[in-house]
Amino acid sequence: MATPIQMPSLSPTMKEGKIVKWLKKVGDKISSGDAIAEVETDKSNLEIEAYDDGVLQQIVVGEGEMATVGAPIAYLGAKGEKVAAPSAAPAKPAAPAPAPVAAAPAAPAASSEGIAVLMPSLSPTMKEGKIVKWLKKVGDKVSSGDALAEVETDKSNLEIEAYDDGTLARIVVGEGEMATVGAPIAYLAGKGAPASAPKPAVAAAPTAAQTPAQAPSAPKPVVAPAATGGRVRASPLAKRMAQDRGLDLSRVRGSGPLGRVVKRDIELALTQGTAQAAAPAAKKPATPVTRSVGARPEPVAMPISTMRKVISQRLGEVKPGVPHFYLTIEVEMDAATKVREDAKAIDVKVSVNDIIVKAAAIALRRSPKINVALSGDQILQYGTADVGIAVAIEDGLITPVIRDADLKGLQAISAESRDLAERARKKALKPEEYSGGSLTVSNLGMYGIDQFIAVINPPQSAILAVGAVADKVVVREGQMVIRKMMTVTLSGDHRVIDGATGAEYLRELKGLLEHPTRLLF
Amino acid sequence: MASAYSKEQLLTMYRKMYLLRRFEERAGQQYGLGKIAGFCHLYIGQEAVAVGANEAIRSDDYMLSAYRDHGQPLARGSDAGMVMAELFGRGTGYSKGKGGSMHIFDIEHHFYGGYGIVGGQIPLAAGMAFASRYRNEDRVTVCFFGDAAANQGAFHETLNMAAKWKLPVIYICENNRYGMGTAIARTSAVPEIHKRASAYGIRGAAVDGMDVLKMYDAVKDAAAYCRAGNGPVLLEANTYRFRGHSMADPANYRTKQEVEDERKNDPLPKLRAYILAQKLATDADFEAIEDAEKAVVDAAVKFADESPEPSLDELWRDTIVEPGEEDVRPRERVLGVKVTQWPSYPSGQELKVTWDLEPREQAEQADRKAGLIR
Amino acid sequence: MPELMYREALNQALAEEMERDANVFLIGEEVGRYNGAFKVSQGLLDRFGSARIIDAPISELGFAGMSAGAAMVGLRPVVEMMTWNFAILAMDQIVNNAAKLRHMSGGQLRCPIVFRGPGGAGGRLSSQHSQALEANYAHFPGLKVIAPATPADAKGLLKSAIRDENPVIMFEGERLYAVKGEVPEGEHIVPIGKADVKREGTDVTLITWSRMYYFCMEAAEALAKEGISVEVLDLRTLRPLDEEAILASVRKTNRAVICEEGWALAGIGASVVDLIQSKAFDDLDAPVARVTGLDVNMSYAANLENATQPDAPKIIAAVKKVLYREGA
Repeated sequence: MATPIQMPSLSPTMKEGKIVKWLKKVGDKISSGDAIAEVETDKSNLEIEAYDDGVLQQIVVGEGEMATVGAPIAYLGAKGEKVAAPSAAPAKPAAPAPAPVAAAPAAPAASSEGIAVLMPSLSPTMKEGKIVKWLKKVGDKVSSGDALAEVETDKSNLEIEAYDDGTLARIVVGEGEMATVGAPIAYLAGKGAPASAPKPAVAAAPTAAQTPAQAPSAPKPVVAPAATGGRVRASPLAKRMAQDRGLDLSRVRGSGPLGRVVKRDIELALTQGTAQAAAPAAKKPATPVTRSVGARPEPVAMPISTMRKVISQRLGEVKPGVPHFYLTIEVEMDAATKVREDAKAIDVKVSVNDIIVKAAAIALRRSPKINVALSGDQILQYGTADVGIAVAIEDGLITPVIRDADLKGLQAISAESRDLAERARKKALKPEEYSGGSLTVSNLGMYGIDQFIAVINPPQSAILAVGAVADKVVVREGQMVIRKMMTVTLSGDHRVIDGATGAEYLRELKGLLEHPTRLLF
Repeated sequence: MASAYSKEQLLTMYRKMYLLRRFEERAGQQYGLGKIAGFCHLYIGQEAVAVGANEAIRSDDYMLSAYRDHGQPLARGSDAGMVMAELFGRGTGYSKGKGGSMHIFDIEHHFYGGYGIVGGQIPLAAGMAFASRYRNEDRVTVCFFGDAAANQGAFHETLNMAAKWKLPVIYICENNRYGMGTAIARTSAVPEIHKRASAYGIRGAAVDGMDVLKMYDAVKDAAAYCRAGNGPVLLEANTYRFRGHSMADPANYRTKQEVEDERKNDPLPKLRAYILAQKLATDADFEAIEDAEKAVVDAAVKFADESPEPSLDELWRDTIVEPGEEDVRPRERVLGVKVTQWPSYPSGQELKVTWDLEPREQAEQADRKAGLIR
Repeated sequence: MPELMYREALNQALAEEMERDANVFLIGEEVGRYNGAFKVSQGLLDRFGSARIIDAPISELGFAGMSAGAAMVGLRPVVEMMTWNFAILAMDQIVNNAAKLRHMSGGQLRCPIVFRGPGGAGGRLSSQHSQALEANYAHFPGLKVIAPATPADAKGLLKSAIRDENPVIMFEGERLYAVKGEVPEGEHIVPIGKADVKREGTDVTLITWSRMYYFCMEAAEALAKEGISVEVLDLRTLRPLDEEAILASVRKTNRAVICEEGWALAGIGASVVDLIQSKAFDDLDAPVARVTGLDVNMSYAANLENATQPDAPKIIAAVKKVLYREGA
């Protein structure tokens, strides 16, 4: 039986080789060890040697042509023997059963599969690409230049073109899967050759050459991040002791550096009973939720797109930490101020800030792209609109969160924020009351500040810096008029949101505040 | 003239050289198919060196080598399938797939390893020979190394000690003329390696490493000299590799003509012609030998290919010897055969050390000579 | 219990083990007729003869490798490095051969060998002769590394090392050879891999080994006068680390200071800190502190030499820092 001579792997990195020259011709007698062809690899030109004796019966890959490693380039047989049908030939090397890792890139059954379509490098920084969509299906005729698939790179989505004519015989990398540059993503059967029994595309994907992207299925609920805003400094041991004994750490005075609570402080607190007030499950905070808000959906973790990853990486290099960007907008507050006065008339206490909180929450719901947070290598998409409020306290600042502020009435928001602020000043907030959410409202208007820039409270992705409401001369329809104006500056985490997203959000917010009746819908 | 070698001896040498050749050809092929990876240094062309040396020593003599180390263990009698499995990185290899091409160890056949740092095995060999003297055994150690290793400090430091303490070790420099791609003459003040023996006052000689019978004679003679307690021998086997340094080497540093010329010196046809001239075998006999060895190698490849990769548990074995842990006997582990040739050593209570490495009179004489004592 | 010098304790261990097992031999520079550069092998040549107490040429790589070869076939060499500074020449044989034979051979071979000699700063010897190199060896999985501080531990650990089936690296203290301490006679074995609480305390754990142990004890004495109770944990073995002992002590005192003579970057103390933060995080009441040699080469001048090394005042300052008693 004729045996195939296969394109050998001649260096640890070689994936394919070009036949530079055939040193033997069909019909030549060959002995083991004879050089039969010269091949150009990624490293150098080398000779391919025969490993068996026989007669060169057929050359499959001509001079100047490429062959992937493992593909037959010629057939060797006994004198006068006929060449078996190429497809039937290589029983041995194809599809290595236990697949040694090193063999995998070379192995994907290239021998009888025809022309490999490789993941191209489409940008200088591209290392891998994700198949977004196959534009041809198995069995389709393909001409050189045809778009075969759409691929997402680190920069953009591009089409992969065919460089050969033929029939799409097999898809190796399915939609939504990743492939490294240079890895085969499909095989074309040569012109005329019947597409060898089109196999179901993805199911046939070989072992380990590609790393299929983690399917974004089954979003796991993500646990609320640990306390961050206004965190209490405590040693790990002190934290554990406090938890074991149901002690509220924020009520213990720390004696360590920067007020760090340490073991001796906990011991002191326990012996002196300063912690009595914070006995386990003490008082329930009077959260006047006026109506049930139903089940709160957990945030959904989404994989970060290739582009987002690169943006976040690059911007993080320029602005280490949380790369902030800032957008400022002016809002006419006459209507919103009117709401406050209307409430007052019926003896309901509502502040401008309460209105802003509600508007900020509704705007969050309407611009979900900003309602996110970075968590490791995933983006958390919140399904709730929770808004933090910055509360100045004696020795710092804390940001309790008003949950579902988009669903709550102004009166409820008002009551809740007063309760939170009051307890914040007493340092009586529980960690879960000042964690979560994607955005905080920081209002320095009461101090007469016109405009300022706030720092994002991680892991949130945005903060609104709200200035004072003041009478200003503005131009409306060509006329100078006096309006109650307020400046809002949004700081955004550029790793997860972009300027346009922020602008859209501010436009939404401005609309809600200028037309507060929209808050009812 | 009648041959000085028996028919059986000659045919054994031919059979082994053919086995080495065929094994390496198939190893090269399997590397090309991605079954073997990493560095892979083939022995094609140098077969006469390992086979001639091995046939000239006893099976309980020690042998070790550098990283071009598939040939020597096969010459010693290692299982071809288990050597191939090691190259494949499979659990059935001699080192469970942990060593690969450069680290073949077969202690049952007294082959103490292939070493990957140039010249690194040279001091080890002296230590093994030291142990033989320490225990008063008449065993010799044969250590192979490449021409480039002769420029390592390890070579000079070791030859000095081996000479001073008269250690029974035969150093065989396999001079294939190139240290990777650099001709030995380009980097050596004295490229004739055997001449360096004179610096340490030991016996040194050049041998035609392309002639298995000349290798056999030289090593036979050296072994007798060592066993008689005369100290080490340095042999320079002038040989040639027909393939590149490793699989990734295009060998552009030498001309095609040079390789062609050397192929005319191929040790296999040379021995075959000798045997035919002596009328000790026929062409049919050779065909039968070659067919049998081809089958051995085909079976070795099949065995390796069908073997599983090592289990992940193996990661945590063989780094530290745990208390009470036995040494692994590969053929017992893999093939289930009872290994009987495993080396054993006298206990520290049985052993009586009688060797006086530096007799007092000798030391004092040296002191007198140096004017230290009168 | 008789009081011996550190070097005498080592000598006793060598003699006892060589008496017990004829496979044990000692090789090194000046170990024979000179009786040892630091007198560790005093009298052994006369007792055991020239095949077992071998004066080696100045070929550290050569005799390290030769001894590893002898260990491959059943002997039990003890290789004396005149100092560990010179063993840098032998590193290939120690690291690429001795430490990897078991692995490369897939369990067919073992290499029971001891490489021992003095480490750490000498006195007024400048940079080539004054360095603590144990971290280099502790890095390699195929080795065990020991560094005893007291004469009793030196004897017990050397005996264990000679009986071990693996390559063992033993760092003796160049400036400890004349230190005296009580040493049990005869069969006194200290197991490799076990740390030792040399002083019990409740406020902070001082973790150390080799010569730094004495500075730690000095610091502990001084701190006791201020009412600070210091536990001193002598690691004794650097690979494998006695995780259990380290964690037990830190869980008791909730604070730790690690003192090592070598440089800080990639030092053994760095690994100890990592162990503590990963396995005893919730027991920590303060960040772990390290006292190390300064990140410079050792100078000859006396004042520079002293300033480069850790000492009791530096340790005391670190302890106060982790106790939040700075300036106290």
